Amino acid sequence: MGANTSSLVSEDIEEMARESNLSPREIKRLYKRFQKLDRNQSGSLEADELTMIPELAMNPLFPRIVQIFESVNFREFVKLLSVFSESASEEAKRDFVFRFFDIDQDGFVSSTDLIEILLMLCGSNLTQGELEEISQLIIRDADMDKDGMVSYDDFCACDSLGTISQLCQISLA
Amino acid sequence: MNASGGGDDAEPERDPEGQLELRAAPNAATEPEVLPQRQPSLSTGGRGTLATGGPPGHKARSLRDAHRDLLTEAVASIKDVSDVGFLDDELAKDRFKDAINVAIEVYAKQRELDRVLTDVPELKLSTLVPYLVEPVESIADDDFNKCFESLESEPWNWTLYMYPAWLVGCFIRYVVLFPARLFNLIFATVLTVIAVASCKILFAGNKQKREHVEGLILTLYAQAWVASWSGVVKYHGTRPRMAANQIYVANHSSMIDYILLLGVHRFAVVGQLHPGGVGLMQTHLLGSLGCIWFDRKNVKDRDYVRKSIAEHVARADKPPLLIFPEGTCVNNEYCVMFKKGAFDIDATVHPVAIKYNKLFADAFWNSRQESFFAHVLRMMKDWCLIADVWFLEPQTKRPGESSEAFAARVKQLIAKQAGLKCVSFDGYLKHVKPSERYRAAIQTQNSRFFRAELQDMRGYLKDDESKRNSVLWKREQRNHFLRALNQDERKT
Repeated sequence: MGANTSSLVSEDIEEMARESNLSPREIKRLYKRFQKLDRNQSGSLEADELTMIPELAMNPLFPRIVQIFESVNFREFVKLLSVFSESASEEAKRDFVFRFFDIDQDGFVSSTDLIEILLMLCGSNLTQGELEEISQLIIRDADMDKDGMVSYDDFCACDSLGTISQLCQISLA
Repeated sequence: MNASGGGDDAEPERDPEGQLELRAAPNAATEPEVLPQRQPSLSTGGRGTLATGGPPGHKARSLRDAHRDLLTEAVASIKDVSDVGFLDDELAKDRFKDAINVAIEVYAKQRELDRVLTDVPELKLSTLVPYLVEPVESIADDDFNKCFESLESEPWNWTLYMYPAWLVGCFIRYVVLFPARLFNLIFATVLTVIAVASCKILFAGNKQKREHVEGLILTLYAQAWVASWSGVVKYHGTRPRMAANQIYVANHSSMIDYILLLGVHRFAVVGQLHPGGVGLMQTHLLGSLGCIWFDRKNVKDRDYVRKSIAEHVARADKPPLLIFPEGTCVNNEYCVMFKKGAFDIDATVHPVAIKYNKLFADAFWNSRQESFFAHVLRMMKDWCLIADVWFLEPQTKRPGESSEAFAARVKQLIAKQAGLKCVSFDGYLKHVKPSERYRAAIQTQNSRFFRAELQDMRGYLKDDESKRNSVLWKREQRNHFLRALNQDERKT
């Protein structure tokens, strides 16, 4: 009984709970989940292990998710998922979303980044022209300083209503 | 015992193309029941998905069909008045045409039904956010694996007075009950092996007689197994009988399902052939029942199985055929997709619902975690196994009903009786990766949304006031229509 959480000592739980603003209960649940996903018990998640979640493997954004979640250990796993908890700050959520879109990691969400995301989402169903038009429209909406790219500041400025953080909530309990 | 493919009796019949018939709506996380007949409708993370809140089902489906029929009719009659000359106002004409087009569009794209759009067309970074939340959500928790999770035991014994009680219980279970049960089972096994072997010699010339007697012995043997778990099994409904053209289908949690049923009546089962000791029992002990064994991974076996099933079902002197259409062990809380193989054959289907009470023992065989013998021994150390088995009213395919629809209907009956939650996942996904086709289907549907939104944006961004209004009006109509429809569905 309780064998599932035996290797996670209570100090660790408390520390992680403090770091991530989650409750110890949620940490324990995530630990069980992590152990289930980490089939070979290596302590980190491999792409193959992520594929074993059918819903995830079918998701069009799976390649991007793998880039983010591949080879994370439990501590990082908690850190990533805690962003989507109710108690996580708006900044943390925005930061995650921004980094998610910024595929080439140059600090800007450019039209190349967006086209890549749209290509994942829609496959080859949209023409190059449509892809460009859509990405231009998305950038134009957020590009406050009109330099053709969305910087982190632009991104925060256009999200004054907090829509992003409203959307980024999942249940971890 | 093998751990990889092992563990599950499986239903062989699946067409190679559609082998991964997973029709799950990731968005239906809160409402796992998905229309069984709906085509791989993977509703992506559009905003405000109304339909997922409602309880879809057959009624909702037929309502939707009825709506569509009415509309098709309406549209057809309007085409006769092709110039819409009966409207004087130009704007009214446009709007009328638009309204019809919207309706057609809605019905042409089933999946789009779920999405309520924003009033004003928009393409923003926030439009993309739900698409990224969705996969993260399935990392945190996914519906598929929930179907195959063993019972979590909550510690209850860590109080001063419970602890001694628990110790005494442990002593009884491990030191008194377990050896006695194990001894009984071994004794019964030895007796059965001797009896079956002597049958083979005694009735060497009379095959029919031999099979009959062996069947009786096996029924007794199955009862010895049930006794080894102190099984308290209640059987409800009409007991099975020998007859031609009948198939018994049941939900599946463990190989012991078969043992429970074998305790009431002889059954021939269709299932995965296991290596090792289980395999020996399958081929030698159960040989006389005419069970059909196959290898799930071997495509060639499918034709053989299909033929054998048909041959078996046609004969009245063979024990009734038992099939587990889920094709894999589920944890007895959910009911995954029924594969259509058993429902393709023109036979009366007798649904059997099996529900285990998890108070004292978890009967789910998680083949990833434990071998079959470990599973059986574990239950022998538990207090007892409580189960209900319902033999439900026989069902036949309705005129015009497809095999898939029939399978789904029988599944509903079983799930309802056993109190299981219906999900539409294909249990085979436990063993194989989902095919690329599913992702492609989602991508096609996503692209429809983005293209439609782009077109609206183009119209909306024009300087033309009437163009802009017509876009807004179209969206308003569409959303109004969807909301009404979704409300209707929820009522039924």
